[in-house]
Amino acid sequence: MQILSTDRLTKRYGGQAVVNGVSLTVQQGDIYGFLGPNGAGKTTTIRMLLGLTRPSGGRVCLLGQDPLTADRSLFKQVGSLIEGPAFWPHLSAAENMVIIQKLKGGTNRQEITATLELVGLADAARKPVKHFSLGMKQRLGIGMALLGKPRLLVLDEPTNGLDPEGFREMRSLLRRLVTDQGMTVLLSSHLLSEVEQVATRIGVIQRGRLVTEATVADLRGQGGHRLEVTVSRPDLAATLLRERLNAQVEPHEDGTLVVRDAGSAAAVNSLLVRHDLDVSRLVEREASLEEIFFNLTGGETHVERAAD
Amino acid sequence: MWNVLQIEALKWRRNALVWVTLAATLATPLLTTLLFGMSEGPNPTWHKFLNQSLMMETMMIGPLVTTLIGANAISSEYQFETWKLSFTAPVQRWQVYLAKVILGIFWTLGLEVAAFLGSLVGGSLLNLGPFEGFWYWTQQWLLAGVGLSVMLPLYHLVTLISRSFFVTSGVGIVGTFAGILMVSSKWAALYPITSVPVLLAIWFDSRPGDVQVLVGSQPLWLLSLGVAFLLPLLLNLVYVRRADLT
Repeated sequence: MQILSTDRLTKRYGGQAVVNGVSLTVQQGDIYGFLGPNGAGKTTTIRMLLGLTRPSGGRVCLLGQDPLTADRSLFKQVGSLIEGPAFWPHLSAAENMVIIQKLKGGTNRQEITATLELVGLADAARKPVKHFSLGMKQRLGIGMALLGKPRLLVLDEPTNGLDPEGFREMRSLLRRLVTDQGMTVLLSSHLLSEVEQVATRIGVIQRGRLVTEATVADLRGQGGHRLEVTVSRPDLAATLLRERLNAQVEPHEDGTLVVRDAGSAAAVNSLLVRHDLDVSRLVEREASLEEIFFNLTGGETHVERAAD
Repeated sequence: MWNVLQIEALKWRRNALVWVTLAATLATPLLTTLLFGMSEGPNPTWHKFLNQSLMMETMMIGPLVTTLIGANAISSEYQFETWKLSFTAPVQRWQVYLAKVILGIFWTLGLEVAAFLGSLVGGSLLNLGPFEGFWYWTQQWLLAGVGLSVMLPLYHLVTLISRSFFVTSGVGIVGTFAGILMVSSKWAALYPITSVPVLLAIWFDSRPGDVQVLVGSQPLWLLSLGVAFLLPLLLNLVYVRRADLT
């Protein structure tokens, strides 16, 4: 069942498309990793998904409705954290939560207490948010998004300011929300490691375009494999592999050749040996997700692997 | 809507600037008491004292305080990026804005009541003799509050567009002093920013008799007052609904 989808969603500012024909689909129970470099159009897309920004073209279907024209009660089923946490800083964590609950139509002190405990802020419930650290604010923002047990949780860069322990807790929390409470999560990030360990499906956005959307397993399958070859006379070996096997060969400084699209390791080995080259090492490796993303995003370096 | 009003009240209750406006408003009776005590001649009266206090409030302190209330209600949402919390919630955008208008009006009226009570205390300290016309003066101060509240949507509009507390404060300060100059003009009842105190003065017969004849007629002046309130209010409701404020 589709929880969220877009059809050729586009946003232009001054004639320039910052989101260009994005069609994505989030299924019930997904942890959908929305991955892309900084400035790729993730946040603008999310703002359109939630009706904060009007699209220049295309359409959004949020829980079966257009967020711009739907009855506002639709938003009882959506929790969000967009572009970092926002608060009324002179109010306490609990008071900020009361506001969100009232906006959703009621108050439930027990839920506030439980949510503050869930995000590790039970001891800071009465402290004004202006005195919180960045990590505490981030946790509170996530807690506020969880109020009312939404069906869809939209988190835009939720781990900014969190330490590695916070990263791990966040991943664990997201998994529990999906398995225990049946939530669906859209998790946007420029950090590959944040997404790959928790996401069930991934959409990659680059320069406003969705360049791929697949399960993590399918993505790994797209990457293919490569051979690392250590051989005498690497220049001659590279020429042979290119000419005879139409392989892509990338020589490294240490003399190793990285060979792609060459067929089997046996074929490579056979070719080199037949030309009296000594093969001292031949290793077959699968492409890492990092390499796949590197290729998908045209080698932009802003998709980062975080310290874990 | 009731929930949205409660939310707005909670935000206001803990906002230091809101309490600054109360302190500034209470400065009106304090200053009037000091000035009146130092300068008034042999026959000071409650009427003269309260009139002076009311004029200082409606022409000087009140407009500045109303500017702060109007600017802060909107600019703080920009500053803390909290529009997005309200606009992704199951409430209408117009409800979020209207709650600010309603709270602003009630707070402004409350401030005028506080200034009136402060003036009564100040007058008592000056031994002005027997006090008469309590309801008359209560009505005067409440109408002053209504008159000041009329300006809130205009301050909201300036802040919605400029997104700055300081731009609106600047506009408010300039407007207040422009109003002081303009109020002696024959067009005074037609200028939106001066129509309020002038109309109040006419209705309560407290406008000095030697001023020039005002241009326009009472229906026209009421129209000016309505435009001063309703036009910015309408523009704000449309702007909040349509514009990307986040």
